[in-house]
Amino acid sequence: MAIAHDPEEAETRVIHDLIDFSSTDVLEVGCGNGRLTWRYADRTRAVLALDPDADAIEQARASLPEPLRHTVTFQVADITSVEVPPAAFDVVVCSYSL
Amino acid sequence: MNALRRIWAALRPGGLLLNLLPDTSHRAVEVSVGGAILRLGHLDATPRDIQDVHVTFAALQAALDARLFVLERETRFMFVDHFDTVESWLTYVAEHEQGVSIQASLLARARELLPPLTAGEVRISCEFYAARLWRP
Repeated sequence: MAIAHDPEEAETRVIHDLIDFSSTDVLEVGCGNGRLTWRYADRTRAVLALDPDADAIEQARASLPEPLRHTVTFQVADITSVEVPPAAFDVVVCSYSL
Repeated sequence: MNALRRIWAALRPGGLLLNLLPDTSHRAVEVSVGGAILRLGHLDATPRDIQDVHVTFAALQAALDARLFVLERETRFMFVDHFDTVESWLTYVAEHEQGVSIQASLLARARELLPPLTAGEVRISCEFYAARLWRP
């Protein structure tokens, strides 16, 4: 079974056209299995990626590329209830999670 | 709106919110075979999908009205999922998209055009809305 999500990378082009991720601190809300995270994280200073789905976070951690291990932190959490530090992020990324 | 208030608090003044939202009410089903791409129809959005989109846009508008954010840019783009067989598509729908119904005639046409062991693919195209919002 072969599946490819957006191999044309239309989403990647759009997010980098809208946001300059260079050296930013990013909060990603609703990261799922990290599919979107991998498309920008290498340019950031740090990413805190949240999702309430523990299975999805487990998948994301398992597929975290080695070069990003010190950049990306995945956490099982819901933005409406988790404590995040105030005024700590340059960018928040939401994908179908508001 | 509660999520947007939490996001506002987490952002530094001058920070940016990137919001991506799929419009699941307009997902096209196509089959690519023999170098040709044939459009078979659309997937029917679930009532919950439609409601979620309305709720999200209403929350965004409320946040703009409350001046939590300023809309700087918005755009739309096509996000395409590719499946090498009809069965791989159906398996994905069963595992990840419960509630999505596929019309029997559309499925029959897909199976007719892309029988097993045929080189080709099923393509599901979804329009995404993307917006950049600035936090004053």
